[in-house]
Amino acid sequence: MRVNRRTLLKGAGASSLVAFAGCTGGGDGGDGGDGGDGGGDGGDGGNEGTTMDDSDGGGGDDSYHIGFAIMGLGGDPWMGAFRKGAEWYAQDMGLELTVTDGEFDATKQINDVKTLLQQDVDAILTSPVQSDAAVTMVEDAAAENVPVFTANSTAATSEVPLFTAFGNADAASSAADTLASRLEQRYGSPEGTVVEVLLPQDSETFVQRHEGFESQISQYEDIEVISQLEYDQSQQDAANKITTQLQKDSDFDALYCPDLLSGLAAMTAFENEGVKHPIGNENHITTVGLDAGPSTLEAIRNDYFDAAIDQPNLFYAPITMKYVVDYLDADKDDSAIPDPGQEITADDLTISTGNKHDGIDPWKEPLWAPAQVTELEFDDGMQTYFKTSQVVVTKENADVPYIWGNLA
Amino acid sequence: MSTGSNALQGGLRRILDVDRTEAILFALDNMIWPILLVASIVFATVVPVFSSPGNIRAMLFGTAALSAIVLGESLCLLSGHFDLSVGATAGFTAILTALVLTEWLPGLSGPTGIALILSVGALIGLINGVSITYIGVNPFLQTLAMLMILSGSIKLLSTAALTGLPEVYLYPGGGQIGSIPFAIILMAVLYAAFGVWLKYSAFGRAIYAVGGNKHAAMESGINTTRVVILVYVLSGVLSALGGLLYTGFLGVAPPTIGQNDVFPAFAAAVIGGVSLFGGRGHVVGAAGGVILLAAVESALVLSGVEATAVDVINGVVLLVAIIVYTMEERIRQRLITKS
Repeated sequence: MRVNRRTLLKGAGASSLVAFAGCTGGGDGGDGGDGGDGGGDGGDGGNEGTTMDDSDGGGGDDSYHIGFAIMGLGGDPWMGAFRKGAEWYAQDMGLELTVTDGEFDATKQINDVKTLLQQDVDAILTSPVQSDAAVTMVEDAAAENVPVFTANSTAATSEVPLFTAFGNADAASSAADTLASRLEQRYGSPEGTVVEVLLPQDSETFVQRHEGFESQISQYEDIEVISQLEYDQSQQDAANKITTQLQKDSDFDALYCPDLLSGLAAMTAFENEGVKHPIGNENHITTVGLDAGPSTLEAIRNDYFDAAIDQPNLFYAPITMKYVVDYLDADKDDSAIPDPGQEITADDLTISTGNKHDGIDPWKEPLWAPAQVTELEFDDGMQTYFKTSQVVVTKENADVPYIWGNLA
Repeated sequence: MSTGSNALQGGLRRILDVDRTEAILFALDNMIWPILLVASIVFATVVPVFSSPGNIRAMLFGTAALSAIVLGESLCLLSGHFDLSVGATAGFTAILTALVLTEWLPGLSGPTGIALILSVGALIGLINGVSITYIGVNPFLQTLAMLMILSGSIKLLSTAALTGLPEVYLYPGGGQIGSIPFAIILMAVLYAAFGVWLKYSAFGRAIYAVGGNKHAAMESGINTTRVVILVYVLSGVLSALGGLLYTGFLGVAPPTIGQNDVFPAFAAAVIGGVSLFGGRGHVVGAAGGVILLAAVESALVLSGVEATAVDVINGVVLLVAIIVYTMEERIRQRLITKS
């Protein structure tokens, strides 16, 4: 039998806890469910995750244990910041957190969740590699009476109580609008030729980063995507592909980079080919990308990179974990989940704990707000979607300390 | 008189046959070059910019780091072994050294960094070599384990690209002499030097001997253990050199360096005529393999082939190359048996 942990978090850092009004509903303790038998179905004995305890939070053995099945970590600073957000928040709130690395492999991630279920977690937070495959994770967890919340990406089932993200497709769409806006500033109207860098189209996240851009940029009649370059997620490959494109045609007006590495690769290729010109120079290639990592921010500050669409990844896990706690406190009652149609503002929801990590309070500036609560439709019903705001990082705001790239 | 004449004619025929066989074998050994030539002509015809000096420079510059890794893999293959950890070694040594230079001991000079990265590569190769020879671990398992250890270590060390590296450290991968990138010159010299060394030095011939028949090499007095260890050390050093060149090319050290290089390292070596079974091939041919892979990639991008189809076409090209080399192997065996 799993030991049933009670919701005794209230004493832990209560002053910094949620001030979310009007839609929590629960929070009276509850018994946290019946726990199930804890058997799970075995898993593969693989990655058992990295567990951090709650030594600073004061939760002790009574705190909730959350499993964080992240889609992948290797070499990806964005995911690293996503993870840090979860770890810092767990530390501040006295939550026990076990992190597993799905290595961007849906099968590995499913096995990670099986392993987490054997580790007696009260809830799972995950960013699925593949939404349909992730339904298996949710079903496995449901069999153990463990809720699965999602952030950044989601599972294709209504069994997920809450999904938190701005969304990759929306971020890519926003990048298209930003790029068009930049071209309009240069030429008086949104016009010109664009080269799009593609991530491997074998992951939903990557597909969304392509399709979101493609569908939005096609709305601009005078902007033409003249070439698409798919790269293998190594900076070297992206640099080589962009360099080759420059050999073919260096007169294109703009470049869309769907992630950090391709953005950095663009800077390398521009430099190696002698076409790295600052904004304002007539030969400047307008460059807009997703994710504002440290090197991207440096390129933005130096006027070589126009803008980066940044998702508030430091907030994704904390926001979700806040609702996880509410949900468990409410005995897994949906009343703890915000209702679709609501707009949640920074006044409604406080994530900041007041504690400093890496020298600053990473959640002091509510970059996620306002959020719109909507629904996503799946075959088995509707899923509540906590859609955060985004940040368009330009030279004007590249130095603010709360952008994750300035913390990485 | 007629008997003597017949004997002379028979001798001449045998000599001619042997010469012809050798000529065919030579052609087969160097098949990469006509293939590369034909491919280049086709590519240049379809997309004229392919043969522009700028594109050729970009291709060679962009693959200089990979060619260092391919050279290391080729040495292993020639000795009848292989190294799955070449890409991970490049990535790990690059990240570790970048951390030392930027965070752990930020005052260290660029040349010290270069010495450090190559030394770490040598150490990794030494561990592989000693484990394979003295402990008797299967090379596949040893280098696979090393790949996993190093890949995991990279994640632990850093998830972000490391910047602020010394200019001297970046020079081998990013510097230029006139308009020619130093990395291209360095790799051309290295390939030529290794080609000569392997062909004319006793140790180079010992590598071929070990790769061709390890037992026979041992019985002929070659210290096979020493040869294998040195091959792995060289593979480690050359992989680390790949990491150094990647870092210089990119100007930063991202944790993704070398992560996808195992497959192209093997592919380039094999396409270049280096036998997967050891003892045959030339490292200069492996350089041709690297260039052919880069040429295909470049031509596909230049010709505007749909991005998502590039991998499929790359796979087809590789399959064709493997079929050609399999046929070549059969012809070779037939010729050798006949002669």
